Amino acid sequence: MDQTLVTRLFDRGMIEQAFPLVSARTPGLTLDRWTRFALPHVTPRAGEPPRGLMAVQNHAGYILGLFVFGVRDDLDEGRVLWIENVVVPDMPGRDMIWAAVVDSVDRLATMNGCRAILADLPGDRDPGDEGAAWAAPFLKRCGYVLKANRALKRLRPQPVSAVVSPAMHTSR
Amino acid sequence: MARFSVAAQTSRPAAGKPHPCDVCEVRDYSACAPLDAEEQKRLVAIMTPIEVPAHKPIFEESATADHVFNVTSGAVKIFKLLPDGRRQITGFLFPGDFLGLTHNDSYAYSAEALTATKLCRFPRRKLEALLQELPKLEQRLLGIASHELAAAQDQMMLLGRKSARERVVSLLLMLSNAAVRRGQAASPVALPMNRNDIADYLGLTMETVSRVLTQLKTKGLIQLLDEKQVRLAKPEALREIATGF
Repeated sequence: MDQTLVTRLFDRGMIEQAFPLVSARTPGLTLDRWTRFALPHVTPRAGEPPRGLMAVQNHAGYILGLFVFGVRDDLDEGRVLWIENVVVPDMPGRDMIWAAVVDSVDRLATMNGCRAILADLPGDRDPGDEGAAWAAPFLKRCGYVLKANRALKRLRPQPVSAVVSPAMHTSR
Repeated sequence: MARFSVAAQTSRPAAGKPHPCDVCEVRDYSACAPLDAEEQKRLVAIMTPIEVPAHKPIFEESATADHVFNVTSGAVKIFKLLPDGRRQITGFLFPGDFLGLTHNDSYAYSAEALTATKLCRFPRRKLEALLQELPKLEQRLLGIASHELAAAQDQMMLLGRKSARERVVSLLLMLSNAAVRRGQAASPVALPMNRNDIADYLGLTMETVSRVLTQLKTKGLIQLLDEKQVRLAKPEALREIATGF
């Protein structure tokens, strides 16, 4: 049996196929919500920096992993390739999926003339979250330096009428 | 704590009885196929054979995922609970299939035996440790794992098909193809699940599933041998239906 993993850019037809993978990671996620998230990443826009949604597929075409990537200008690092929303299922053989992700990211960075790669690890960033815990050692072995300097504040949903635009905000 | 079925019985071989691996019918096409005798021995050392009666749970979604499983006989349905409390069957698994996909140490799906089912049960952490030493097994597992994921992706593609007839026919062909991969005949196709399970899986009503099966029978495309077996009388015509022709 061919065990080769391939990475390829998502097309629209792959969005629905990938839903079981992302919903396994994010219980409660609806297909509609996933589609609304994914669609902009598979719709190329002229004049914008490269970005997209990349899939890791096995020989049978099943999607075993995915990640969002883009090119941006970072004040410290210069032109960087950033990756986020990395989905690698927690199953035996996951290191091989990670290896395919890392290989693909390296190639994307080279193709786009990037000087560095910024990766947002999977997981909730909560202490002890297993998703990040098992990805970290693998990335370290691949030359990544882990920087735990990100912070997250979850905000309560506000009714539309209560949302104040920056221009309306004044401080006396 | 893992909520295994109380009905799941371990079946350690008694003295004089053959070891389950020696009489395993799926050995040639399951995860352990590429292993040599010594490697197989190490895998068996962490494995426990279990038997789950029909309609009993194997594990439940969100329960702590301490184990992964390899189906060696019988049939399994996997499903997810929807936010509104309904359940959606996302796939059917058969001998040779591997299951136990997790998220944050919890099972991502629930699994229930459709028929009396035998499985090899492996402690997840011990298996992962063993995989570091047995790259052949890791590669093999990646090639076949996770069947829950593959089955659910098959379902998504299947639900994308427009008509009820295309969905039912696609399922029959999928089951047929799976049987061929297990070294069985392409037809007749075994249906260990009931019509309600099929309807749930296909996003149809039970009445629609029964009506479509009757239509296919009337047109001579299939023969309903009994509730649990369908002969594919005209496979080529069925394949054309499945692809929307």
